[in-house]
This record gives sequence, C-alpha cells and structure tokens, in this order.
Amino acid sequence: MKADKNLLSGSTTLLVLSLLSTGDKYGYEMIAELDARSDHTFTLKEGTLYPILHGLEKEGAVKSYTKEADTGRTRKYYRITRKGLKALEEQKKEWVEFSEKVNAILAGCAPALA
Amino acid sequence: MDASFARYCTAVCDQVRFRPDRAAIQSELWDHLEDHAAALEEEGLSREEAKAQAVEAMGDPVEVGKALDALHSPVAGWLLRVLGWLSNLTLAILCLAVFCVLISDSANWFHNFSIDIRTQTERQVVAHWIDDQEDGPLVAAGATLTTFCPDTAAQTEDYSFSIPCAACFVTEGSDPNLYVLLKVVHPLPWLRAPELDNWISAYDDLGNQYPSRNAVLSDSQQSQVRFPHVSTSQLSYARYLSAFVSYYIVRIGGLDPDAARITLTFDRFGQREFLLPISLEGGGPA
Repeated sequence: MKADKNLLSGSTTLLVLSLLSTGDKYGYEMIAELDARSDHTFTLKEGTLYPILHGLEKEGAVKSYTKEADTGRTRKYYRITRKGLKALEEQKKEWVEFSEKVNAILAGCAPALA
Repeated sequence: MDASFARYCTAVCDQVRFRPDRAAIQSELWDHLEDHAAALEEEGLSREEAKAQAVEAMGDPVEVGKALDALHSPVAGWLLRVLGWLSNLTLAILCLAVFCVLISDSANWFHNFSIDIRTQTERQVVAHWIDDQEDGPLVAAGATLTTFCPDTAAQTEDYSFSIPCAACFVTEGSDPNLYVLLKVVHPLPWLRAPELDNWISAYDDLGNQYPSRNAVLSDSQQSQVRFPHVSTSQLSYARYLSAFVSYYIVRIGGLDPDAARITLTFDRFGQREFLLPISLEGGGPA
C-alpha cells in the first residue's frame, strides 16, 4: 500500500532528520534508505527532498560538505548538527503524542465486529 | 550528456532567481539522477528506461524549483556575497599591512615593499656586492682589490652575525681599507635591524684600535686625515632587504698594512656583546 501524500508531507522533515541521525548521507542515499526502511511504502517525489534539505541547512539543523562517495564519485553530503538533533527529539515527541491521540480516537470509533 | 537529465535540471534551475546558486543545485540534482538511474540499471532496466524512470521519480521540476527559489533568495544571497567579499578585502588589507611592516626598513620601505624578497639568497647578495666593489671608485682610482670569505660568526641573545664576504683595497702609498659585508639575522618579527653605527669598533693583532666613526668625530683628533676608524652603513638597496635579514657594509679605514688579523667588536652600553675575528691572510676566496 502506498502512503497518502498528505499524510507523509508533514513528517518528511522528521524522517530526513531521523535518517541523518544515524550518519552523514547524500540525497539519493537518503531516498534509497527511506525506501528500504519503509518497505517501499514511502515514495515521496524525490525532487522535493532537496528543498527540505536546503531549508534545514538554512535553519542550521544540517550542514553540507562535499566528499567522494563509496562509488568513487563526489557527492554533497549532509550532516545533522546539534541543533538538528534537538529538533529531531522535539519532533519525535510531537509525533508520538499525535499518533497516540489518533490511535485513541480510532480505538473509540472501532466498529464492533459482529 | 543526458538530454532528459539536462531538461529536468534546467527546468528546476530556471525557477531559481539567484543565479550563483544554480550550478550547485544543478550538480546535486544531476548526481541524484545519475545515482538513481545506475541503481535501476543494476535491477535490470535498460539505460534509457532507467533514465526515464529516474526523471519521473523526481516529480514536478517547477514545483521543486519554486521551493528552492524561496530558500535561495537573491537579496540574502547577494548580501551574504558582498559581506564575504568585504571581509576578504579587509583580511587582504590587514595582511598587506602586516607584510609591509615586516619588510619595511627605516624610511625606504615604501619603495621596496613590492620586491620579491624570497629570491634573494646570501650568494646573490654577495655576488652583487662584489660586483659593486669591482666597479667602485677605489678600483677606478687604481686600488688593488682582494675579496675573501672570513668564515666567522657570532651570536647574541637576539641577533646572529656573520661575515659572508670581505674586500680589501690596497692603494700604493696609503693604508689599506677593509670593507666587510656583515649579515645580521633577526628572527624575532618585532626586532628591527640593530643600529650598529655607534657601537661597532675594531682592533687588530698588532694592538691598533679602530674606534667607531662617531667616536672619532667627537674626538679632538678628528682633523687627522688617516686616523684609523670603523664606519658602518646599512646596505639599503631594495633587493637586499627582507623581514628577518639585514646586511651592513662595515668599513675599516686606515688599516695597519702589517696587521694579519682584525677583530670586530659590538660593544653596546659597555657590555661587549660579540667579537668577530677576521683573518686577513686566511679564508677561502669569495
């Protein structure tokens, strides 16, 4: 099942920060990992990753640098900053609270199975 | 060059008004497309299919371009660039000022600061100085010139002194004149070349004293024509100046013709700081 684009859009920043919290990555590497970790559920339009990364860089949540990748090609890598890690913690907390509330509502509305 | 990648990247970059950032954006997107296409090719797709699918996966280029444009604002971009240029300019001016102070020497620094001091080795200075002596007025007046390497050095707390070359002029019927090229190394940047003129004097192995020129002038015997004395002048040609090395010409006039050894002394504030013995008979050729 493909995820609804709207459901995903609000949380892409959280996903990107979470991906970077395990190590420095370049754009395509993040997409590939997101794809693998979500079992092909999250397929965001790949181009939209870059405005998110550039926005995070502008805010100081990530920093970019150029390095030769394992493939031998030079790639622009992103690294999460201390500010980024703090933002990640806050967003995680918000996400957990939000999902718990949604689950609570869904539980209350569960149709009785006959 | 992949036309489909180029079309996608151009469509994105066309939306970004701050042109200086376009190249970096294009390169990042292009790398992404290359990586994705390569991954798809590994899964078994043909090159063309892989490229088409990679571009398709990127989504609407105009939407991406507009989002990037909002983040790469021309106003902020140019402001940052101008600030960067200004700070670089300030740094360059500061460096130039420090450089000028370092290579400056008394009043003539302004004429010299553009000279490339790195190319001046001691050998070049010596060669040039010997040329100067050979073309000098004493030789023109008929003096015989002998140049030699005294191979002598002395060290004080702040300076090290050495004599890379000396020149002895002998004229028929008068006492010889000894010209010494004195090299002073002052590695501490806040120390300038020392004022040698008042403090330098000499004596020879026969017991003759050669006081400094200033001492002579203050003496009642100053009218004596061939009174032995020492005088110094700093080599002030631009090419001989550097931040940490100075050269002086020390002239010992009215030398005793029988002297075989002369010793230069640097005697500041009554403390004999160094002695430089010069053998007038020995030493290799310069």
